[in-house]
Amino acid sequence: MIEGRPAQSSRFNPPTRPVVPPIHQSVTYFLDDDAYKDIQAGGLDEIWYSRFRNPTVDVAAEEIRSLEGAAAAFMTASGMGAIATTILTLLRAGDRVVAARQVYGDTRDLLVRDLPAWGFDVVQVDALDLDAWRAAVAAGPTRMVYVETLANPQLDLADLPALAEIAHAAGALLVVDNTFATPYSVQPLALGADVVVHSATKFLNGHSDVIAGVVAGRFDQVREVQRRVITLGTCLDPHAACRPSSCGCLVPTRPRAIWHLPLLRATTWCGSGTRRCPATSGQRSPAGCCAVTATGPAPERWCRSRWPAGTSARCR
Amino acid sequence: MVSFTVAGGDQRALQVMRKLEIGCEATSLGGVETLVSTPFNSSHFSLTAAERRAARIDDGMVRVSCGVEPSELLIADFLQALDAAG
Repeated sequence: MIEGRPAQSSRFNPPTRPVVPPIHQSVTYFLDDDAYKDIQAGGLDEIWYSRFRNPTVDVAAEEIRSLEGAAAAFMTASGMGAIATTILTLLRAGDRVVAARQVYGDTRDLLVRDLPAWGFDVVQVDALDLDAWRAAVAAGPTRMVYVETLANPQLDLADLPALAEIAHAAGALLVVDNTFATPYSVQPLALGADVVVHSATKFLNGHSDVIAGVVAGRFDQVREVQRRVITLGTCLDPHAACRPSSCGCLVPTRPRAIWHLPLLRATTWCGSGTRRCPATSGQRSPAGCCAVTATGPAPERWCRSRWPAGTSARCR
Repeated sequence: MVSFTVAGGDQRALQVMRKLEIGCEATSLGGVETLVSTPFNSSHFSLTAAERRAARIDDGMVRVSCGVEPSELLIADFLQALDAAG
C-alpha cells in the first residue's frame, strides 16, 4: 500500500503566462490574512471559495461588464439565475413590480406565479404601450420596472429611454433583460436602465453549449446581487465560464472575431427582416406569411441595428 | 431573431417547422445553428391561449434564431417548408 497525500497546486504550480484564461477548478483556496479579513467583511472581494468568487468566472464577468458598459458584472448559473437573483436582491416584502407582458415564459412564471406567492405584487402591461406603463407605475408605489429590450418571442422593441424616465420619476429601478438585443445593438445602462440581466447561454456565448447568466449594473447593486448569489447558490461553474474545447467556452476564450459572428448575423438579419418578411419581399407570398406591422417605438436614435423607425420585428 | 405567424394557427406552424431541413426544431437561440421553435408548446407553454393572445403571441407564431448558414439556403428552406406544409 502506498500512502500519500492529495496533490496540492502550490507544491508544483510553476508561474505561467497563459494567453487563454485557465480554468480554476479548485473549489477552495489557501486561506491567508487577507482571506480571513474578507470573510469577516462578507467574502465579496478575495478568492478563497468558488461559490463566492472564482478567477475563471471573474474573467467572463469582466468581459461582459465591458460589453455592457457597466461598472460591475457578476456571472450566474443561468439566465433565470440572473433574473431571479436580481429580483430577490432588489425587492423587499410587499414591494410592487410593473413588468412587460411580453416576456420569456419562465420569466413570466417567476413574475406571475412565484413572486405573488412570496408576497410581492406584480402588474403586467403591454411592453409597447407607454401610457399603460405610466398608468401602472402611477397606480401604486413601484419598486421595479421589468422589461426585455427585444421581447421573446414577439420581438417587440421596448422604448428603454422612455421606460427609464417613467421608472425613475416614480423612484423605481429599471431592470432590463438584454438577451435578445445583445449589447452589440443596445446598451440599456447607457439609456437609463439600472440593472441588465442576460441569459449568457444565448448570443453572449453563441454556441448553444453553455448554460450561464450575468447581472450587470452599478457597483453597489451588483455587489448586493453577489451577496444573494452566495446565499441562493446561483453561482456559475468555472467549467461553463471557460471550457477548453474549441466548441465549448463562454466569451473570454472565444476570439472576438468569432464571437462577433453570430451577433452580427443576428442583428443584420433583424435589421433586414423588419419591414417585410424576407420570404415575401417582391417575390411570392407563401400562404400565411405576410408583411410586418408597425407597432414599436422609434429605436433609430439609440439602436445600432438600423431597425426602421416605428416598427417592431414582428412579421404577420 | 425573426418571429412570424403562419396562416392555419399553431398546428400548421408545427407542420411548417417539421418540414425544415436546415433549421433545427429546438428551443434556445443565439447559436451558430438555426434554431426554430413554436412558442405555444415550448418557451411559452405555461401561458393559456388567452394569455398568449394578450401577450401578442399569435396563434401560428414561429420563432427563428438564425444561425450562420448562408441566408439564401435558409430562405429556400423556409419557402419549401411553407409549401410542403400545404
